[in-house]
Amino acid sequence: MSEEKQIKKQHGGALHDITVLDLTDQKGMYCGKFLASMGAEVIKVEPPCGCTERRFGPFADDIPEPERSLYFWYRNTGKKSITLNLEAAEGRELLKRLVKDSDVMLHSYASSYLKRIGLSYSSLRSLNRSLVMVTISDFGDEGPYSKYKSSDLVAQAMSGILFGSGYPDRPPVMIPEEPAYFIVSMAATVATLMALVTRKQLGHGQYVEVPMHSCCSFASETPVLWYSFNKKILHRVGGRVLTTGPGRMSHIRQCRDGYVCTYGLIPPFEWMEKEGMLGDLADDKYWTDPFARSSPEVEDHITEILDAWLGLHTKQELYEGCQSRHRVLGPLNSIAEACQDPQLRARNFFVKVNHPELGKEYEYPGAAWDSPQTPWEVRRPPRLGEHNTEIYCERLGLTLKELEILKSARIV
Amino acid sequence: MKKESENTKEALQGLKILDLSWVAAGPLATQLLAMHGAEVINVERPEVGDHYGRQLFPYADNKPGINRSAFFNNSHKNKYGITLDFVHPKGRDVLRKLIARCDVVLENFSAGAMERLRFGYEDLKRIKKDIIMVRLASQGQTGPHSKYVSFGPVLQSASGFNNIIGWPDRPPTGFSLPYADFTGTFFGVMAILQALIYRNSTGESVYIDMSQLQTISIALSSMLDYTVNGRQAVRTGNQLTNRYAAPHGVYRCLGDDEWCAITVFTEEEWHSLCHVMGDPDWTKDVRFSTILGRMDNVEVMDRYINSWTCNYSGHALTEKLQLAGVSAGIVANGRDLLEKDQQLAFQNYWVRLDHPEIDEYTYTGVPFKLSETPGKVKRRSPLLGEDNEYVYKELLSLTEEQLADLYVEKVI
Repeated sequence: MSEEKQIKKQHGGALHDITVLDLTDQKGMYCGKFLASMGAEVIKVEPPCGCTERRFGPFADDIPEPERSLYFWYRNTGKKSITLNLEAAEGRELLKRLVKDSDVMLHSYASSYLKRIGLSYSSLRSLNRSLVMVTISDFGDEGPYSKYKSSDLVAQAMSGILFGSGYPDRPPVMIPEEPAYFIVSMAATVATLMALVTRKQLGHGQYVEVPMHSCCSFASETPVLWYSFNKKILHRVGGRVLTTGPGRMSHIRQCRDGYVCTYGLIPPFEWMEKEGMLGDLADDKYWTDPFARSSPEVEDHITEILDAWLGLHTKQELYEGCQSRHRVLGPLNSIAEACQDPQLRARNFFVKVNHPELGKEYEYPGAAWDSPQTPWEVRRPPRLGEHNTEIYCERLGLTLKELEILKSARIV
Repeated sequence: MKKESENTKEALQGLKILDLSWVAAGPLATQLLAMHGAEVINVERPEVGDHYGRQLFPYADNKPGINRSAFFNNSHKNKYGITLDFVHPKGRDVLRKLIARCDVVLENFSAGAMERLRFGYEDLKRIKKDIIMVRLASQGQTGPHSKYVSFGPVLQSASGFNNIIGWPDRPPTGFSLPYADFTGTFFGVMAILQALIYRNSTGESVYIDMSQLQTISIALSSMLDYTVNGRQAVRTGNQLTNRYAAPHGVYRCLGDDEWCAITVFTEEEWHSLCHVMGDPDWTKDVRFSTILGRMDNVEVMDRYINSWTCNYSGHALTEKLQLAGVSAGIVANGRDLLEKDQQLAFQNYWVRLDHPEIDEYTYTGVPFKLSETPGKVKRRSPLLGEDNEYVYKELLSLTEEQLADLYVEKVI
């Protein structure tokens, strides 16, 4: 073990001496990715046939194979993969042996299922007092909705993310990219780190419960605060960010070659005046009192002047022109434009990851931060069972022969 | 997530954070830490305070006022609030004293602002050898756009995220909520906690240069589809593109602007849905017998489903479908969440807080639970400068005369 820890230290990262067992599904997969990016050894435990998410698209070169799922790749960077059948008693015994030497176990099973197969927190804690066990659930272990089934869209709906999304003449529209899974995974990461920080003082680990529903409600505070404070329900207006309150105008405005986001914009009066497009826009009556600005007539008037001017310029001209005048405005970029964004490029946000099994190198979105002491690192996602030998033989001391037998019995 | 005994320990007890950040992502990050026992001192400018954050809608009774913003009051619970002009020479001395006693300095000014004030990382290290400095600028401290000013929604546009939200036949809808402020929040907390773990084990100082744009870009996994396959994600309304699901959408309910999300991924779930709808004849149509068939005929199918869902209220439908094993949920607005969500009520998620200048209102609580250190909202957000006496006299041991002098010179 100590040699192994030495090897792990070669990766930087604040969590280099933390070992995490990752038994989450798509809901919590990002959590292990984040912990791995901070240096933890994250061992993803997959059923012998591979986890379901390896079947989700898109796929590299559009070849639908489990080792080419970009969905899986992106959410599992930096992890190790072992296969293990928890339905088999021998499988559960192997997991318990791994638990003894781990710091964290992440999972998204129903707690009642883990209890039934003998892997509840209380039984695992008796093997390892310092274990931090993190349950990522839909609604929570207990309570009236604890048996409800969720999904990313249902979680968006019930937590208040969805209601304000879209146009008034259509149903509410989904936020793509599974924001509910992303939010609960971020929250689970934070909760895990808190439990690790406090483990020294407590002298032992603890049970951490991270429900997707309450975490998403936390992140969609806007509709709640409006109702709490003003008994007001914010309906869909299309393109509007609701933190600015009731109003009709979208913050996504058309310009010459696309769209820009005008949220929080105080127009660059001098620039507009130079082009003869200012009208009475600079008048104080619009900018000193936010209530005056939110009346429908004033909103219409302001946006009419603004739109006429925005239509003269490209989004790049507007981005650079406004920002050089310290005005908040951003382009509505396509994914391609975002991937070529000079700022992200200058900060080396995209990281080259080598996939030797395909003989190729791909660029992955990378780090949240730069830090000389505690870097954020993105490493290749694992192939199915890639680390079986390392974990079962080198770590747990099984012989290759024993591993073969477990494999043929579909336990590994 | 129920029941808390009075003398529970706190995960981050003893952690001292000096919060120079303003508006959204910084304050919300320290909010999570303060709810788990960290001492957070929020530093604002004398007289005007965090002038943007304190002006965010809505206001109590719709009346503007420096202590009346729902957003501000929701994001500074459990914190101490002080005022300090640290450009003033006397203010600089006070700031040095504050830095010397804290573990973490968090700031989100535009890039380079701290260096200009001679409170850059090297300066901070001279004041406190093992300081953790976390910088949460819009686009980071380096690169051609490091000085650009932004709010969360603007970064959502620049990242490419806003471009993929909405209907294929309409302009982009964008995110109605400031999602990038919440990615900034959670990654900010991760940065602080992992730095703390590193410092606690090495005794060394940590510097974090975070970019809010990078945090929202990490939430955009379809960037990998572009860098690997050259394909750009498109707007697809409520349809998933990466896996099979049908129905997968938002359906009309009885009542004004009332909707229910329904997501069906397996045949079993489809049969449960058919059954709960009363197995109408249309469900036996061969076009709907497979998931691919249903995806190909989604418009016809959705019309049939809508003609059934519109007979029920959103809450009744949620319960009916969930009892039948179908993942479904009401599209909740602020009132639904506060008054009708039984799970959040069961978890005692919401908190009621009184306030000397405004009425008692409901605020958001702790979104996840650590079993032994559950976290708690102990105190409402401070009025501007409310804790000057306590912080300056009790924590910094300034004398009455020194304090009076700082007031007179408008340093605090």
